[in-house]
Amino acid sequence: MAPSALSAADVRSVLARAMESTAVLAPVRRGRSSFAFQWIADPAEAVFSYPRTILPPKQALLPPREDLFVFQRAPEPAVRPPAAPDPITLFGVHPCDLAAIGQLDWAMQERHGICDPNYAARRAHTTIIGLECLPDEYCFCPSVGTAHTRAGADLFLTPVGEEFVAEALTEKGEALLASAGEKRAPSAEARDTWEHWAEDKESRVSRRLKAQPKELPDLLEAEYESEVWEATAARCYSCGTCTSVCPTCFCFDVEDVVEVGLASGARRRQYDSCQFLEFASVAGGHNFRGERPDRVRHRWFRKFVHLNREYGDAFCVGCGRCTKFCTADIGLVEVLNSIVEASE
Amino acid sequence: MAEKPRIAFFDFACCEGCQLTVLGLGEPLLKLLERVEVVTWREAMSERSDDFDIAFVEGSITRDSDIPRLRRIREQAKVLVALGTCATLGGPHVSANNCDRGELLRLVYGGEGAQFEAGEVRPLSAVVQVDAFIHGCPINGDEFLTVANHLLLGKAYHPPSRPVCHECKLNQYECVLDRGQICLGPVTRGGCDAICTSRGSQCFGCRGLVDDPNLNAAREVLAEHGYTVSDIIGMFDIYSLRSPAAAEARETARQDRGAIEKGAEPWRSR
Repeated sequence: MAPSALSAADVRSVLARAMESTAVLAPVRRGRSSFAFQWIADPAEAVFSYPRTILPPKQALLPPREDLFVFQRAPEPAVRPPAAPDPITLFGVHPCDLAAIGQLDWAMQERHGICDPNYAARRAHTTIIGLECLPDEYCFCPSVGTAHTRAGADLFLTPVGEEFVAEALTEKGEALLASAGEKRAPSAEARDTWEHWAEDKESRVSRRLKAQPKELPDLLEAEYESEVWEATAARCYSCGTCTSVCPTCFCFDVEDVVEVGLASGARRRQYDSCQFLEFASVAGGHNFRGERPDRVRHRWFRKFVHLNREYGDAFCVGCGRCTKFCTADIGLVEVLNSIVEASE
Repeated sequence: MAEKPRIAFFDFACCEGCQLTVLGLGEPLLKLLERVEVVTWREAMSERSDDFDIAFVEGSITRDSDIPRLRRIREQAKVLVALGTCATLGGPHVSANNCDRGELLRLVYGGEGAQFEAGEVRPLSAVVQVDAFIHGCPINGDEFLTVANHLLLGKAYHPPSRPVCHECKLNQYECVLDRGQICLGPVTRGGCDAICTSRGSQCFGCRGLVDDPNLNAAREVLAEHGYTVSDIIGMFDIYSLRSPAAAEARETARQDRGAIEKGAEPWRSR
């Protein structure tokens, strides 16, 4: 499908069209210098250029807290699945976050041959409008091969000057694009910028992983006892920010709750974090990772050893959130590189 | 129909804001009241009784004359719950322990100060066994309901040990340090849904430290953000997070979860 040109006003009409039949999650400004995905009430709220949001679009597919089912005691005992999810549109999803949704799809729908029904129900009713970006100092998408991901998007936009080059990648994307009116071809200049975007993007990335993702399992395992874990833990608060903001982390905790009137309740799932003190504590009181360095090491091993082997690639998309939002300024790539250097 | 557990609220040195939070719960409080009988609650009613099963106690112990009263409450109660940070960790007035008491009394009351009894500020657990801890200044009303519900159902309740940063991020609030304010979120026990940082304020640490706070990291990171040692100590001293009393209370809460940990409706042992 040949790319077409959209003005910013056209993109807002595409959003308005999406809002007629779906809830739309889009990046908006938050505070002084931050951005967050938020359910918008007006296309004008969405921003078209942002470095990264605090939480990834994961929040729409695997919410921080959700009820897996609800039950009631009165008037008669009954268990009900959650209401069917409303269709949603995710707007402004960067290539790294598209790649992350692909990884989450595997984790939540295919891994171990188990499909999570709540995730799958939301995912089946999701339309995605991707948005090209330029990296900042936290990004390392080229090191994990996600800089140019399009898979997952129905419509993909590249901002070129004041305009956008739009690619419809699915029928849903075609329909959205059609809502902007008569198609027009991008100017020769816009097309030129669009064609050279990939190399320009790569050339701007300064954070680089000093190994291939496929080499990491062996490298890390050889450094299981490295002092890097202790040194990193000395800075770590175990606050769980890195896992909450990670677009590919999917660990959760499940608890049965009953409201104080005892008439109804729910089986509730919420994000958990391998960094929390009690994450690996089990019945009888034993905690497998009661020491902070063990928890810190686990995070790197989980993403770059265990899931890397199981999935066939690093379970990380280079978005830079864990580093940008780390309350102690711990750098994910820096830790990996110090392991790589130690093994040289 | 089994007899309803009899509930009593008491207070020592505090602002009574935690009881006010309970009173302000609205409909959920009415639902809770269908399952219990409140027999003593000075802030809310004039009737009173010394025959109760569960005592919610707000405030810290500041006078030796408070001790027999707290012990009597402990003797009567099948379950004693410390309500709010003054009760669980001592509260903001623990900072008075670092001052000369006579001088403080003169400063506040002038020549009249000598008539007041005032001593070391202590959390309840320094005097009696406490079975459950509801931290917060004031408490989070939802957590009160959760603890009450757990208690009535005979389920164990563990105050979350994850830092406020976790809830702050889940709500997508801009990091307070990035807003140019000093913040204790990374070492403070969450469970408050980051209410202060949601309103443009910083975290003052009112719920006390998490079970394994990384204080060296806090010192290092805050210094890197340009805060001086006295800035940092000033923040930690608002709720006396470094006081031995708070550290002991935290350890007590972690080690000895008392009657609630044992579960099985302890208030029924009448």
